[in-house]
Amino acid sequence: MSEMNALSETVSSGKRRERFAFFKEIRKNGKLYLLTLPGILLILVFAYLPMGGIVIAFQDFNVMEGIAGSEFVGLRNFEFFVQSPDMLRIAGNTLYLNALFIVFSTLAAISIAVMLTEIGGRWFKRIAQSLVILPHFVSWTVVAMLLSVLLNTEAGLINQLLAAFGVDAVQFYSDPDKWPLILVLVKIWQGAGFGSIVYLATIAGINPDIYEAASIDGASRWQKIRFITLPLLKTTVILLTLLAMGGIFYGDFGMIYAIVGLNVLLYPTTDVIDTYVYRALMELGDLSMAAAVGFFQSVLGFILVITVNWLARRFSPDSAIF
Amino acid sequence: MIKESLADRLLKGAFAGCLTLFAVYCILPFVAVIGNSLTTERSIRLHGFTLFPREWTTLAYQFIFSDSTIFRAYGVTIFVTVVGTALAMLATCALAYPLSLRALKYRNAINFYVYFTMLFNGGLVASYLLIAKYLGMKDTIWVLIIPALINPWNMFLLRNFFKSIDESLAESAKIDGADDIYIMFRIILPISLPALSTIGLFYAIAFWNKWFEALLYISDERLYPLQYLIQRIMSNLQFAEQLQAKGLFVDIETPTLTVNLATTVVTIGPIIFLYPFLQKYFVKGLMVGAVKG
Amino acid sequence: MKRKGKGPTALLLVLTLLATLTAACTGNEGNAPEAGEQTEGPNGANAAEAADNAAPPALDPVELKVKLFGEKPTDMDAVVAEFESRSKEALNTTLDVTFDVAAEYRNKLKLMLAAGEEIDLAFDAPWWDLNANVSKGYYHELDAYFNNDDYPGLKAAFTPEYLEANKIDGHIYAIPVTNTFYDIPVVLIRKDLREKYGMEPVDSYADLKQFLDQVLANENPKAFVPWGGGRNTWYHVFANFDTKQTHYRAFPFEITGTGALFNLVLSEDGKQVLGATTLGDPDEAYSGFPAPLNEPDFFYDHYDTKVEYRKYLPSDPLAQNQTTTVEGGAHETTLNSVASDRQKLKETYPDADYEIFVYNDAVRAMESGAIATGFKAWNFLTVPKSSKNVERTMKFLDWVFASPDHHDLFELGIEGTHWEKDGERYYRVTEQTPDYAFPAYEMTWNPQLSRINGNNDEETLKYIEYEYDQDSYYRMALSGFTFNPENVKNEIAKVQPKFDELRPVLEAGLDPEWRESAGKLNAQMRALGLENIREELIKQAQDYLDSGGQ
Repeated sequence: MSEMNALSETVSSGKRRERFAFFKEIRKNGKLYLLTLPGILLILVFAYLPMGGIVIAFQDFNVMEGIAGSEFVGLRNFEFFVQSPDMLRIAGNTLYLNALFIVFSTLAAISIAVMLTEIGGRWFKRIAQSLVILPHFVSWTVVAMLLSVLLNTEAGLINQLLAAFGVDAVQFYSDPDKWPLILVLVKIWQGAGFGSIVYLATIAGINPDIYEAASIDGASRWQKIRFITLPLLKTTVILLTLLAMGGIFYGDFGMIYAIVGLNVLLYPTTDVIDTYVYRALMELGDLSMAAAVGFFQSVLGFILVITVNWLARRFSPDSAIF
Repeated sequence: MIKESLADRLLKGAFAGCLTLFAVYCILPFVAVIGNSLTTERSIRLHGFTLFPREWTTLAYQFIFSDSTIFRAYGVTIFVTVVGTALAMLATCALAYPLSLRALKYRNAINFYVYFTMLFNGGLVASYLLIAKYLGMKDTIWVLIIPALINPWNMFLLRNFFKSIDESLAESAKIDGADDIYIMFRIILPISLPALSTIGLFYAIAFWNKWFEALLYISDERLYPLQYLIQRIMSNLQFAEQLQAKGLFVDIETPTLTVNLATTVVTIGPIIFLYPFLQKYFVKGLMVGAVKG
Repeated sequence: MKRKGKGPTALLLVLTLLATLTAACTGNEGNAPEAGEQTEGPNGANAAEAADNAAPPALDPVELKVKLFGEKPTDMDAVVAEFESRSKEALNTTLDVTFDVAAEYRNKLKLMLAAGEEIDLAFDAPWWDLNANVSKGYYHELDAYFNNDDYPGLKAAFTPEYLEANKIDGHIYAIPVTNTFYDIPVVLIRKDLREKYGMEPVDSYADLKQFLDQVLANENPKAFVPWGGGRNTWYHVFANFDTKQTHYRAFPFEITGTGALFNLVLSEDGKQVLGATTLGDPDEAYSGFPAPLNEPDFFYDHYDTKVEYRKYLPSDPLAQNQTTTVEGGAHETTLNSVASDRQKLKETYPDADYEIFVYNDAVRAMESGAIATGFKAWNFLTVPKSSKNVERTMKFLDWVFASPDHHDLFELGIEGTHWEKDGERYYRVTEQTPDYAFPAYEMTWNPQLSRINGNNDEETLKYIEYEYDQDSYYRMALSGFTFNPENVKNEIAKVQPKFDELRPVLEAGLDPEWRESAGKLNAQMRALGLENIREELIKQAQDYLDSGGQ
């Protein structure tokens, strides 16, 4: 039976006792495993079958020869990236920006969720709740356009405002140091409202009896947030952070390329792995070299997640991924 | 109910103030998008972006809707969103619920099996070969739906929601003779409405926004989903601008800037109404007595 | 799934999912609910019609799959139908032309080739992956179909010289698509402002500078900069056009595809490569070259000019995706875009106007043999190996290029509807022109057959005519040479991002100390394998010369 085949992969075979345990487990929870079957099959077909494609990272991939016939070249496709003197800088930028994004987006999303839960006024609440998710639907190209309305040196709103106070114009598009902050603000604008949905749902799932009991004990509103709501969000926060960490070596190409583009003056703080590789391979268009970088990013993310997940299992088993 | 103290009321006021500010921060650029999508290119070039444009026109929208395929594209997208979300919720709940139970011995192996796909993928070439060549799903509407039925991120989130439900609830039902499937559908899912609407919303938005799969696998115009049509319009406009070689048809002017903005409005429209509809499930205390604290 | 149980819901669930899965996987025949319903789609109708009317044909019916990018012209189907009916007797061929999103076409083409999908004619270009794709053997070699009396259309429209310059590795793997061999870059000057300042038309760089100074002095800098209007940097302006590039290659015609842009210098007789230099090379690298090429400044002093002209650019010349572009007194474009730029300006400022300043002196004087060219096209058509209809595809192209009538049909649409004749060489746009905005540069442009848009001003038309005249050109050194990056891929991938970090800064004149910065960059690039690239380039160029290339 297919579900057994699928599952038997996950069981170290050979030992009779374990096999016996396996059948016992299936007998006990068979229906539950049956439930997982469609999901497992979908993932097998659409995620694991194409995984053979990873080998093109180690090949000089030729479309006509295909994945099976292309020549293997060992780690040659990784060289250009690993040997680049800029690698540390761009990997650093990638990690730094992503860490900022994760921390501040999470903080903002939690704050919004808590505030939305606490405030009264049904209509105010509903309208605020709807408005804050709107930016999520604005494409990065449009975001970049809007940003230039604010930051342009000659005609930007901010510089017009500064000029009204007799302050000299700030050349945002030539000053890399300001960009981590600008990008974080943009990211919060774009994602925090939408991110708050998860936390809203988590708060909605908290048993109101707990709050009731706290109120009877004379807890203030702030104390209830501090000692009930926030601790109960912990598992969700850890899980989401863990999930985000797997991708921490992947720069947000869509956002950064739309906003910074090829403005070399901002590269010192905004150039991330994905934008760098995009430029390095723009003319070559080499599939294998691009695949190599992707694989490299995944492996690093994987190592990180394994480590952090191990920590999570020790300190907050409920939020560990596996 | 105990009467609120002054400090509590102050805190509430501060929250309302913060939220109002943040909402304004979110809505202002959006108003600018809508406003400037309703003005002329000329006006933008003359006066720059303004909150309330001076010259009103619906030219950008006319340009988008002049492509009659867009109405069909709405249909395709709605079909994909509705059917996709329904199937995805079924598959995801069916996977997430067992994985939330401690009693399931191999749950961590399965968790790992699912998580691994979040980090590693075989790349475009392999997926394209699989879907286009071996599965023959090119130019079918299912190519937009089936590969996306399980999103690991959503699955783990849902699993965590289920995890927070008191396991004694299921256990007592089991003692009464109910089987796991009955428990999931009749006991667990009904009390998980906030979680289900969250994940449902995420799936719906993901299906609504699908365009890359369409780009790869769909060449039949009648199966173009909305976002893909929009992406085509935008990308071709931008490319035409870049392309010095467009020389021959110099007299054709397309309103690039305003169209770009109008597409935001056109694609956001229907999906944005889904959220207020779901908001009633995000109320504290909906699941009285069901969740452990 | 034999296990009994009272969970029919679960079974149903599993079955539904598996059913949809397998249903979708079994193929695309009947499972797309949207697909079957509507048969009045233009494509379907044509195909059916063509099949019905099939008179006993000499050739088996065939459908050619053509892959282009961009927006599908509204009336594409009508034009294809017109083609099919006109060519029924001769070709018995139907066309399936698909247009992919421009930005993704490059990758999608590779995917389609990888999947072995049948494609009979596909666009590719050296600024994408044409050379790599050819060297990897993805395309059919087409030598036999050109200069062949069985294909008279191709023979007439593609002269041996034209083909020779566009061969890759000595063979025709890609069919060149171009109308002229250079689009003359021009500076567009705001005529109304020039008159306002009481100046004569700009005729030299000195005039240009004076004009830009006037703009700087007279206009509000918040709303108006001397040089800008959305295209904020310089293109070929300030290049040294005094000597012809017959024995060397330099800005703006450096060798590309090598990570860093290279200058190449040949011996007087054109048989030896004397060397290749790039940005920041020490003076000694130039000492072996004949004067005046023995000074790096000969190649790079335009960067001094750009520093000097920096003050005329907007403050953020490198910023991307700017919506608040300030107006500019002048900007650079090419001849073919003059009309559209003028229309854009007129829309905003009805009373304003542009005039052109051709900054290459010899070209401005319309001397013969003044424009450097490699006679190379930028765009190409290829026949992928997956095509089973190479001959029929070439027959189709032969038909297209066989007569002006055939060619006009694809390039401009149906005469009288989408365009009107204006003499032998010109065409005029009509109300319906926008309904057939065919990307001719992807398929039909041809030096002999393409018509000129008569809706240009007289001055511009004069230069466009000049551009179409073969005698206006001279052949520059190494015109047919293309660099194959395969052996130095890694070095290029390392050098390219470094080089691209400095060049835009120099191009925008942002670095007065550019010589020093270039020297530093050069040292870094050497550490990354610049010398390997240089060696490979010189070797390939010498091989090219040795095998008879020019």
